[in-house]
Amino acid sequence: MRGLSALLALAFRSAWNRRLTLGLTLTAVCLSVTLLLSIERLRVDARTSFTQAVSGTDLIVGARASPLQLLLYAVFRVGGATQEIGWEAAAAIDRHPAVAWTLPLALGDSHRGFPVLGTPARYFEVFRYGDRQPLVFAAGRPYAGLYEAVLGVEVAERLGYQVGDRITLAHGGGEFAPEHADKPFTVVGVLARTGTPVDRTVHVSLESIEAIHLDWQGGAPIPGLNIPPELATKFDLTPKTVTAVLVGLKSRAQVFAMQRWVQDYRAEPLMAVLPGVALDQLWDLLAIGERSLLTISALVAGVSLVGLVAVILAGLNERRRELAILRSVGAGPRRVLFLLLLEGAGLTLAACVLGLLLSLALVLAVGPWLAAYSGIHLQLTWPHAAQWAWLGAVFAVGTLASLIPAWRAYRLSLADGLTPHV
Amino acid sequence: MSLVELTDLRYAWPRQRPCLEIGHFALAAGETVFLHGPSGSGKSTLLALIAGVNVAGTGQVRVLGEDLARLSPSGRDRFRVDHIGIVFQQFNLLPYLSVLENVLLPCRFSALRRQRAQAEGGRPEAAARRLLAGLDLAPELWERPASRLSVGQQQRVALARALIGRPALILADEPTSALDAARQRAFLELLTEECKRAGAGLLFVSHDLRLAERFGRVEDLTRLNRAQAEAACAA
Repeated sequence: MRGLSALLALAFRSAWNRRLTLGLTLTAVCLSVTLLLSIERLRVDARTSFTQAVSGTDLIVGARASPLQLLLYAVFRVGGATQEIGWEAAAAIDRHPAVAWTLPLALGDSHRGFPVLGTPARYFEVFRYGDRQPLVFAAGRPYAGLYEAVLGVEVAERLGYQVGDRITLAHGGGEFAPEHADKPFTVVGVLARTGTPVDRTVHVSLESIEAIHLDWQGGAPIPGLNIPPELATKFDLTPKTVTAVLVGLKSRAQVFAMQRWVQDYRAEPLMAVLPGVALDQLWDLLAIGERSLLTISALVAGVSLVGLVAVILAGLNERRRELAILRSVGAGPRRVLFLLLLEGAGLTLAACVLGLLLSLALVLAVGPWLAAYSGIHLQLTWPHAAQWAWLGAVFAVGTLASLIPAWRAYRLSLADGLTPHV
Repeated sequence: MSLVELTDLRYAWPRQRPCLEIGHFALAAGETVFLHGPSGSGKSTLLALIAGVNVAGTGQVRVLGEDLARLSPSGRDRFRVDHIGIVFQQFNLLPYLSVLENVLLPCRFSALRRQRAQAEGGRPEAAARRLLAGLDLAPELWERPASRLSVGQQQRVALARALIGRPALILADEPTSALDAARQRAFLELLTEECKRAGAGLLFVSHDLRLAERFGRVEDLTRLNRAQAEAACAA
């Protein structure tokens, strides 16, 4: 098919000649593709990150509230508990014959925006994430005594901490939380990357949490009372309350029986949640937002494609001379149709490719920040199935929509013959 | 065999009364014919029929002995670029191509035109340069975008494009109407002489009889055309 390559070259030169208007519409389509791909990427990777966050934990126990809320603060360190559970209840669960292990969690403090978790040192042996993977130390060791801290990798990297550095914890979260400045902690270990909320957590022992709050009451230091760090050991540092308890059972078959046992616990109202069930609730909740985001970005993509077609269509009248010249040198109406189709499809394809590259660049640029502050790890990989589907849909719709100006050009070149009736 | 031969030609634009009815018209090889007619008399329609862009409802259009109606649409498109060079009133050039690329357009769509251009010595570009030089276009213009040229220069480039690869027939549709009187004369001179040199037949349509003197034969379309539907043929 002689002339096809000539036609391709002409299509490109012609489009280049109109590069300002076409470039602007291309940008619009490209940005909408970026938006679609990024939201899709965020959606899938957020799910993966959330699912990876906890593994091997059969039940999460907390004060009676919404299961979702319990999951959010106990696992994702998002939000806070309105009520704590008594130490005696935590100990009772630990003593239950069906229970293999428990991890009492004390949350609420923070260090420069990163959550502080008080938990026994066995956490580093028992806790599992992802596909039942254990925690690994990148440097140092678990804490053994008071005022020792183990950092998640994001905390260490973001704040530039190493084993041996000294840090102070703040009471509560937020920028202006009062500090436990009188009792600094020593970093004794840094965990290897997990891709879960563990990475942005500062871990200390339950006793440490208790010690720094000895001379505090109601969220502020008690005036006139100052217990020096070395004296704190004289006190009973067994916690009075904890925020939540992660429970591992000897047999998964007992999970519902154990759940009932916890719900029926007499001394105080407790709640036990299966992480999978709570995650499902989380998905249901997120799905609404995801769907509206995707719908909006699909609409944006649609609007940008309409703009693209409108621009090609609007330029057509000025190009009738061009089409007549092409006809005079042997381009048939079908070639003209093909030329216009090529232009629309080519522009859409270029927008898809650029949009894909831009979305990858966005992962590179925003990914580390998002991982540090939300625990969502964006993957810098080839597009996954859903992203390909969106790309394919945009390309197909763009190409199909280009049939409108292509068909009009076909009609025009038939009707005009050699002389455009402009 | 005539280069162009029309027999009992009848043509109507879709959903309109016939605007063209010609009993017989012929143009011999190498002949230059001035076809005179006021606007609306069907000049452009006739050229479109001879170029095979439109097909007559009844009657025959033969070019080089070929009955154009018998060719497929794409066959007519190929036939056109192989054997016919066309010069329009104005806006002849693709603005985004250089002068040289515009001249070479037919060679990109027709193997025959390219071969003939090569036969004149070397590459088609050489033939294009020779034509442009012969039409008095300075070499420094050749690589410029066509849109930077004056109207007179553009028409000469269009002529070079029509002539490259020696097509048998040149169709010219009021190619001088955008030029002033002095340039009209100069352009006509170039047109008729180049066609003679290339041995191409020339069908020149215009409403301006003052231009007719250089042509071998002058025909009046209003007399040829028996359909007298007022303004049925769009300009």
